[in-house]
Amino acid sequence: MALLEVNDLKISFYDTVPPTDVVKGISFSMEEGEILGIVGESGSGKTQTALSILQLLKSHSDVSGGEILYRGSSLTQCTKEELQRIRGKEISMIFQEPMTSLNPVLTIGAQIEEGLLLHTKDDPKERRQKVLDIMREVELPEPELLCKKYPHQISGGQRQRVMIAAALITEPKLLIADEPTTALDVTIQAQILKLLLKLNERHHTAILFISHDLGVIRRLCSRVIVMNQGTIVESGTIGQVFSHPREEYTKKLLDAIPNRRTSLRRKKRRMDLSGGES
Amino acid sequence: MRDTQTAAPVLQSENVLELRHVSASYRDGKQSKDVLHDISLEVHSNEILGLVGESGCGKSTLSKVILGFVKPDQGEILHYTQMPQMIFQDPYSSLNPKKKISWILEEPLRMQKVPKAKRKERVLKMAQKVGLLPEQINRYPGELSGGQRQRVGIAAALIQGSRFIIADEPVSALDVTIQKQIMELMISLQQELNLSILFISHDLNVIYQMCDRVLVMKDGRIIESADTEELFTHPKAEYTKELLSASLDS
Repeated sequence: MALLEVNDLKISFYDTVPPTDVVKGISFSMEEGEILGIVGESGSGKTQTALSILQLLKSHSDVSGGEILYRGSSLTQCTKEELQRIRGKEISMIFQEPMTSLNPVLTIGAQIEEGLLLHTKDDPKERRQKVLDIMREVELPEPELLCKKYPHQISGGQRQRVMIAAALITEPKLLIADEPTTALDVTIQAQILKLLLKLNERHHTAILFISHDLGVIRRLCSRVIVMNQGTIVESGTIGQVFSHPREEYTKKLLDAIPNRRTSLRRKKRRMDLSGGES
Repeated sequence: MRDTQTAAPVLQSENVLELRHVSASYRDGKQSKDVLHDISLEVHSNEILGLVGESGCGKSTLSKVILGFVKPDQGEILHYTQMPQMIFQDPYSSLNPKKKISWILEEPLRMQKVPKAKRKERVLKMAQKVGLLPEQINRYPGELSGGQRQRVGIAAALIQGSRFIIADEPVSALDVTIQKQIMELMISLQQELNLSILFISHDLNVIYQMCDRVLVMKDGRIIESADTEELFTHPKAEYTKELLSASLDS
């Protein structure tokens, strides 16, 4: 049985008349321990897809068709209580800007601990131990000191590590990561990707990684889904999609990534010299 | 490697801007924090000069010092042309949401008392240059996409006739396909109008695509400066090497 199965999922925005379909019937599945990437540009529906899995869509949007199965049971049909048991315990989510998801008036330690309070019967001592352990695991420096600090007192990279620690402390089977490295500097981004890979290997946590950045997807994922305007344009292993893209849109997307082979500026100059089109 | 044969050699020896041993700091009460240490640089006329570095390295402070918003503690800033105009990451925050694009673009001309008919004409011409349709300039900023807004940002920087531009992360918030369009636009405008551009970015691949020379900044210092091709093939500073390997070629 697949860990996650999405069948003919449709999502609509109801703030327009008639409603706007933003996800137009997409299907995919994920196995345990797999890292799957969803790549697409603004408006492709990738974030709506991610949000719909944990029923986190904004009030003006809703799943208008299809189903989402987690280990065979429907997430779209289940009750609020069932959903609450799954959120943060079975499936966790991290976002682009941790500052907006972290509570500014709670200490780091308290926020990492929250999942344990909700989902386990651990006593305070066990909880504290687990908090310190996971902080060490995500390579946060001096956990004993840091857990007493507040989000604004730490750096952006550390905040993202705190988010990851809070998401993983309950040992979920699936981590949904929506552009978690987009707001970070390249060197920090590389560290966070390395950390996610390590955690995936060590705990066999599956990761659904949403990004507009093909370079990041390529480094992290084993399989990728390319989305455009609410549909899946192409999907396959990283090797297939990056080396032999079948669809025009994928080719265009790959072609637009700034690379270090041909400089646009120097290419333009050569063209002008040879009298070619500019 | 520069394609020297395509650019006018006379202009290349001239600078539009020089900074000599500039240091700057921010004061917060009694505490003072040094943000720029002994910065010396030249922006040649007709070149795209890249400035790369991570958050907090002083990139943006440097542009504020150049524009005169932050007074340096030491050093000299020599402008050889008029003050540069800025292009920002998201022009949305600097566009009045209640005014149409045409009104916004006309504003500096209005302040210079350019007659109405002439203003309209210049705005239309500039809109065309940056690839905006006449009907798009009759819209409000909120009705444009990110790429279209950045075209407005570029038009706003150029409309008064400035030929020296500081572009602070101008493509960082855009999707890759739009990013490429805006980079191509900036490159052709540079050639058409002989612009000098100080191009600030944290993205090395974008820098590679756009720039003739590159300065690498870290902790308020310029730690390396070289022609683009040289910097990417033979980086000297350890930090540059680290940056290059962290942002692998895609």
